[in-house]
Amino acid sequence: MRSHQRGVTLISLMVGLVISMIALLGVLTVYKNAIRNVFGSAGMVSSAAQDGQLSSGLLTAQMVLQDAGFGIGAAAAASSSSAASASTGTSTAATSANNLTLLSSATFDGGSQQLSGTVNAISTTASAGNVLLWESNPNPASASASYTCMGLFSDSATNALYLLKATNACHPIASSWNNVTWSKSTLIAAGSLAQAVSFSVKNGMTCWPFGAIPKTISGIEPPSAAVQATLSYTNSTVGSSNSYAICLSNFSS
Amino acid sequence: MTSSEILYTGRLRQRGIASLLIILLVGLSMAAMVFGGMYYLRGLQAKTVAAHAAAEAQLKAWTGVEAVRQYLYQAGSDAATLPVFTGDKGSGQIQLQGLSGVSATVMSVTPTDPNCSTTNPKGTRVNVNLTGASGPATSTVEAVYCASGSPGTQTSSSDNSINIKGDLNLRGSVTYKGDSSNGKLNVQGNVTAAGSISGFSQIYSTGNISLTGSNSINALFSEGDITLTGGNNNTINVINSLHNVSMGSGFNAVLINTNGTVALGSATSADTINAIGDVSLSDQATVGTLNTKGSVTANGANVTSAMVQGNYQETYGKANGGQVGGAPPYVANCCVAWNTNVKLTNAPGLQVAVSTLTTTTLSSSVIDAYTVKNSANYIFDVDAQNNIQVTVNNVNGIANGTYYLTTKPVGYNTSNNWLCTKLNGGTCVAQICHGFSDVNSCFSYSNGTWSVNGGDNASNPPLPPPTMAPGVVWFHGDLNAGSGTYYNTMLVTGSIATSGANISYAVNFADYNNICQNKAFPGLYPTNFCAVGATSLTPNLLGNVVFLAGGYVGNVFSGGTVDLSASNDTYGNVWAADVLKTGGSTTIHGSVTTAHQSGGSSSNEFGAKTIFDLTKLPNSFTPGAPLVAPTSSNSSAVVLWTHYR
Repeated sequence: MRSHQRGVTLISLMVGLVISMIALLGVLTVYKNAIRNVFGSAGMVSSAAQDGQLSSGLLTAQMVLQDAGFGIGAAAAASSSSAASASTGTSTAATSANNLTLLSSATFDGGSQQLSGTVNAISTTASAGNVLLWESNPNPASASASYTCMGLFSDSATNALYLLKATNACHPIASSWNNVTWSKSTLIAAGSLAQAVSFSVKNGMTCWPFGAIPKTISGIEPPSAAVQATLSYTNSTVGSSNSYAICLSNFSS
Repeated sequence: MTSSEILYTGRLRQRGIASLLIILLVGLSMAAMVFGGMYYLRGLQAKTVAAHAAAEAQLKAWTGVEAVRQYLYQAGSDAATLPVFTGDKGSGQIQLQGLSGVSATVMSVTPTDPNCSTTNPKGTRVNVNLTGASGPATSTVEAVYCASGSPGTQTSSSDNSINIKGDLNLRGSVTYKGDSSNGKLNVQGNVTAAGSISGFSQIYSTGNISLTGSNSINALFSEGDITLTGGNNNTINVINSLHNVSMGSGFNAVLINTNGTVALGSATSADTINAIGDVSLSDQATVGTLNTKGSVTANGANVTSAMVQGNYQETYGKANGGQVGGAPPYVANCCVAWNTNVKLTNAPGLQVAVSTLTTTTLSSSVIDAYTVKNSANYIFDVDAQNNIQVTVNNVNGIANGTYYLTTKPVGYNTSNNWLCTKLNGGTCVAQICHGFSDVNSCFSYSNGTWSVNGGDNASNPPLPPPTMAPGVVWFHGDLNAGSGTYYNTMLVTGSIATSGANISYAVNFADYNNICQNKAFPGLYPTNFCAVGATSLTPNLLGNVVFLAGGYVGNVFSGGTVDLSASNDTYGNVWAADVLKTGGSTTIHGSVTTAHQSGGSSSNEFGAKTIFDLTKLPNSFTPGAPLVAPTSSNSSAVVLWTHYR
C-alpha cells in the first residue's frame, strides 16, 4: 500500500485543484443564472403563476359578471324597446343606474368586512374603478328583497382580485353598498400581479356576448344589451397592457 | 500510474470525487429546478388551454342562445307546446340541427308570464339551458326568453300537385296533362297502381308503391318498398326508395337509389343502381353501374361496372369490371371452371359511398265545410219541418236574408225554385234554378241528402246554362249533384256524389260573362265576384273550389267523400276531407286535395278513365290555391336574461 501512495506531487495536486476550481466556478455561475431565470422576479415560475392566476381568475370574473342583472324586472332588457316596461306596474328592467355600482379608490376593511370608496357614475363615457358591484335575482319570480349581490374587488395595495358576495340584504345596491357585509374569496392571489386589475364600465352600448348576427343577415332584430364592462390587466410580458370587454347581457340601459 | 493505482490512491480519489460530486449535485439541483420550472409552465399551459377551451365552449353556448331565439322568433306563442325537462335524461331536449357541440334543454315553459306581459302581451316565458362543448370543456348558459305572437299559417306552394292522404288505388287509365314539372302525385299512404298511368312527373308515397302494368312515370319516390311487376317495356327514370326496390320483368330504370335492397327480375335493366343494402340480379338483368354497400348475388346478369363493399357471387353471367371488398371467388362452384367473364378485382376494406335518401315533408290540410259556410252566397239548410231554407249573402237582386225555397203560383200553374219570404203566400224575390221544366224542382232533400238536378232543354228555345244561379253554394248534409251545368262552387258538410251528366265549374273557372252577366238568371250574380264597373271576374280563394266535402260538428267528423263515378267534367279544385273516388270518364280541370280525416279504412280510388287536365286554365283560376289566405306571422322573441350556470 505504501508504495501506492508515492508519486503524487504537489504540482499535480495544485494543477488538479485549479482545474476543478475553474470547473466549479463555471457550474455555479450557470446555477446562479438558472435560479434567476426560473425563480427570479421575472422568471419562469413567477410568470407562470401570474399568467395562470390571470387566466383562471379573469375567466371566473367574466362568468360571474354575466350574472349581473339576471332576473331583475320585467326586463325589456335585451332587445325590445325599454319604453314599454315603464308604463306598467311591474318593476323595470335592470339598469346600470339601479343594479350596477362602480367604485373607485375603494378599500375593503377586513374587520368589518365592509367597503369604502367613491361611487363613479356609469355613463356613455367609460368610467374607471376598482370595485364593481351588481345585483341579480336567481329566482325571477321573487321580489327585490331577495336580490343577491356580488362584486369584484381589485385591491390596489396587494394587486389581488377578489370575488365579493353580499351576506345580507343589498337592494338597492347603489345606496346600500357601504352598509353591506361582504364575504371575500380570492380569484387572483395577492402579490402575483405586477399591477392591479382595473375595471371600466360604460352604458349606451349596443353589444352582445360574442356578438350578434345583424338584421341584414338573419332578417330579425338582433339581441342587444347596453352595458359593457372592461377588465384591464398586465400579464408577464414586460410592458404589456391588455383588456377585454364583457357585454352585460341583462342591462337595457 | 495505472487505473488501479488511481482508484486506490486515497487522496487522489477523495479530491476528484469531491469536485465531481459538487458538479453532480449542482447539476442535479439545476435539473430539479428546471423540471420544477417546467412543471409550473406545464400548469400554466394547462390553465391557458382550459381558458381557451372554456371560451370556445362559451361561444358555442351563446351561438345556441341565438339559435333558440331564432327558433322561438318563428314559433311565437306556439313555444307553449315545447317539451320540458322532467328530470329524466334526454327530456326537454331541442335538436339544433347543423350546430355541433351545442345542446339545448328546455327547463320550463310558462305561458302568459308576467315577466313577459309588459313588452309582449301574453308572452310565453321559456327557460332554456344551452351547453356548449369544446373538447373536455363545457359551458352552460341559462337563457330566459319571451316568445309571443302567432306564427301564422304556412304558405303552401301553389303548384299543381295532386295531394292525397290515405291509401290510393289507381286502376284503369289515369292521366295527368299539364306542365310536366308540376304533375306531382303526393300520397300520404300506400299507392297501388294497375293499368295505365301516364303524365305524372313524380309519384311520392309515404308508404309502399306497387305498380303493375303499363306505366309512363318519370319518377317514383317511396318511403317504403317499391314493387314493380308485369310491365310492358316501361322505363322509369328515377326510382327512389327508403326501403327495398323490387323490379320485375317489363320494367327498365335509368337510376335506382335505395336505402335498402334491390332485386332485379329477369330481363330487366338499370343504368345505375346505388344501394345501401344487398342487390340481387336475375338472369339477363343488365346493369350499367352498380354501387352497393351490401353484397351482390347474380344469376346470369350482365354488369358493366361494379363497386361492391360486400361479397359478389355470379353463376354464368358477366361482370366487365370493378372492385369488390369481399374475398374471391366471385363465380359459384357450378361455373367457376369455365366462366371467365367475371372480371372483378378484390379490394379488401373497400368503402363504397352511397348517400342516404331522406324524406320530404308533405303538407297536410284540414278540410271543414263549416269554416267556409259564411263565405257562401247561398246556404241551403232545412227548418224543423224539413222545409228547405236558403240564406242569401251578397247576391245582386236578392236582399241578404233567409228565404224558403218554394213554388210561386203563376196563373193556374206553379213555378218552381223560387226564394220566397214565406212557405206559402209570401213575397217571392227570385228564381234560382231551372228544373227539367218549370214544374220540376231542382232541389230535393231527404234524410240529410240533397239532390240537385235540372237543365231545361224542353223549353223553346232551350234555356242557356247555367242550371242554377251562379255563386258559392253551401249544403248542410250530403249532396248528389245531378244533371245540369253549374257555375257554382259547391261546399258540402257531408259527401258529394255526381250522377247523370254533371258539368260543374268553380266560380273562378267560369268567366265573367257566365257569372256576372249570365243569361239564364239575368241580374242574379254574386257581388263579391262581380265588382261594380269591372269587366273581369274578381276571383277569391274559395272561388277556385268546385267541390268541397266534409266537416266537423264539434270533434265528430262526417262525410268527406267526393265520388265522381259518373261521367263528369269538373272544372276547379276538388277538396275531399276524406277521400276521392273517380270512375266512368272523369276529367278534373284543377288540383285535388284529400285529407282522409275519417282516419278509417276508406281509400282513394282513381279508376276507369280519369284525366287531370291542367292545360288551358283561365287567368282567374288558380290550381292548388289554399282555401283561406295564409295569415302572416307576427311572432317575435326576445332574450330576457342570460347567465352562466
